[in-house]
Amino acid sequence: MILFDAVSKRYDGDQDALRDVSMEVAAGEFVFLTGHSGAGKSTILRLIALIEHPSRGQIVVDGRNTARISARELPYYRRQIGMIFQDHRLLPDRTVFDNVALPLVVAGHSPLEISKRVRAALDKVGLLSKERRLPPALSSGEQQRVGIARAVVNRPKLLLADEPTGNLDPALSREILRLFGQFHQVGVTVVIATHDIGLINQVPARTIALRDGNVVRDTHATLEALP
Amino acid sequence: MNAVTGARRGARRKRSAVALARSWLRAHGAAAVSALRQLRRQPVNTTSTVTVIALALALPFVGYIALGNLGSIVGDWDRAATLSVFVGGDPGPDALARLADDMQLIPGVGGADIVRKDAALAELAADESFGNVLPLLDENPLPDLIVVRTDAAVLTDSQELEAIRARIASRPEVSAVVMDTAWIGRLVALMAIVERVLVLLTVGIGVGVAVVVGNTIRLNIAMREDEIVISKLFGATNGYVRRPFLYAGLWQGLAGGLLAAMFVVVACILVKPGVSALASTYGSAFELAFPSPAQWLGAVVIGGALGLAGAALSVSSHLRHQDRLP
Repeated sequence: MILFDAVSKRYDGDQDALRDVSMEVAAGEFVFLTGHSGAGKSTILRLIALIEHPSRGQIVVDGRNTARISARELPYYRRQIGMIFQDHRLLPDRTVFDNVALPLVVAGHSPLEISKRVRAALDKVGLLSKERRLPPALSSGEQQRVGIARAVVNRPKLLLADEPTGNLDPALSREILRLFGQFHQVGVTVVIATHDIGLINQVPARTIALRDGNVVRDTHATLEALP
Repeated sequence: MNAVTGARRGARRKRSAVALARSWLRAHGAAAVSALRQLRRQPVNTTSTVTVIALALALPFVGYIALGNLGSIVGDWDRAATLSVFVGGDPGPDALARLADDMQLIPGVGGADIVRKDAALAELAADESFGNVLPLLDENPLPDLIVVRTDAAVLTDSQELEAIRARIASRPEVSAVVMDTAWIGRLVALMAIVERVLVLLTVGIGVGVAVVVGNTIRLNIAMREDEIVISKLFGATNGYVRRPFLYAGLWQGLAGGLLAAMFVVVACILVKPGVSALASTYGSAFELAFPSPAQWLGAVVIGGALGLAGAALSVSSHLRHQDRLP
């Protein structure tokens, strides 16, 4: 699903955010990216979502070399990816329903289809009763669940989450993690960037650890080796 | 078999074309409505922008209305110049008729009518204000007169008009030639200049209107930066992002054009009594003409086009800077 081949990323005048990173994530895999802030976790997610372009190296997502995706094709590429942010990135003046509907509205679905799918997504995250609320009226955990509903409403192949439990207490974090697990079970590739070791220890999933832009540990092999 | 699959494929293509058209309509409808909502959410901004557009458009609009009205006054003269040719002495009817016939032969002259001095005196006597004075005169003080009408095309051609005048004046029988309609020629020439100035003014104001709309749209874009960024992260095309702003420009331009036409009508209502009073002092029943339906439509269409253009400039320049997301 995701292939990084000797990818480096250097921001203008700054030090390298990523150094010669090569890794592969198979379709349907569940992966944690860990490391301190500034280790390169977010950069990897931003490169996959084509918010940034690599300085060197190649990235292939779902069989497509991302360097060959034109500005015109970019929106259609992004529709296959669901993104979740630590700060939720909800529109505060739109209802929960409208926030979740955004990816479907943008893709031009019919109102009937939109309403069906948004309700299904909200039901999944347990917020169907709050569809008419505005995000500021919700708790942080609820807002994060709205963000998750928005990310999955378009049934993406790939789910990218950047510190999805950053501001949440352990119980809420477990709840969020359980949701990701459910999407993983229906075949979605899930990549979660987090520095929350407690979270990682709850799931026996592959973990890629980064430090200063380098991959320092990948439990992939160890997991395979387990009986 | 081929025909069947071909037909199926054709049906599928047709269905997808219908679906495309439907989604296109839906996208535009949604953008149009969302733009309206956005404008309604900032009533002060929207009202002031629309008023500025309306006032700016009303300026040249008033100019065109004034020009149109002047044109209709000038049009009453059926666009031919007339020269009054005064004949000295007492040539008698036959000589006068010969002279009139000669004048008709001059190129550019359309006709020549004789006004005998007897007839002119009789006409004057019928006028109350002169009637009492005339019996005091020993003899008819009026000369014979030939009214020469030129061809219509000569009116604004001062050189040809002057050539005709010179040829008439060169006749020894002629004592004086007065160009009655010279002022129309001057007025028409003046109107041509004013019209050019108006075109320039309209272009300048049009650019100004587009810039004003572009500026408000830029502010709107800045206010909705988050929404644009998030929409793009979830697969919004540039077209999707652009559309509501284009509609916002269009709506404001259309409203500005409509309001401009209303301003002009109000101005016409205020000015009309004065114009009628002025016209009556010239013995004219001239009535000020209000903007025609075509002019209303023109103001609205021009306003809309300028609004759209301003928004398009502002949005496309913003989106170019916006391709890299935060």
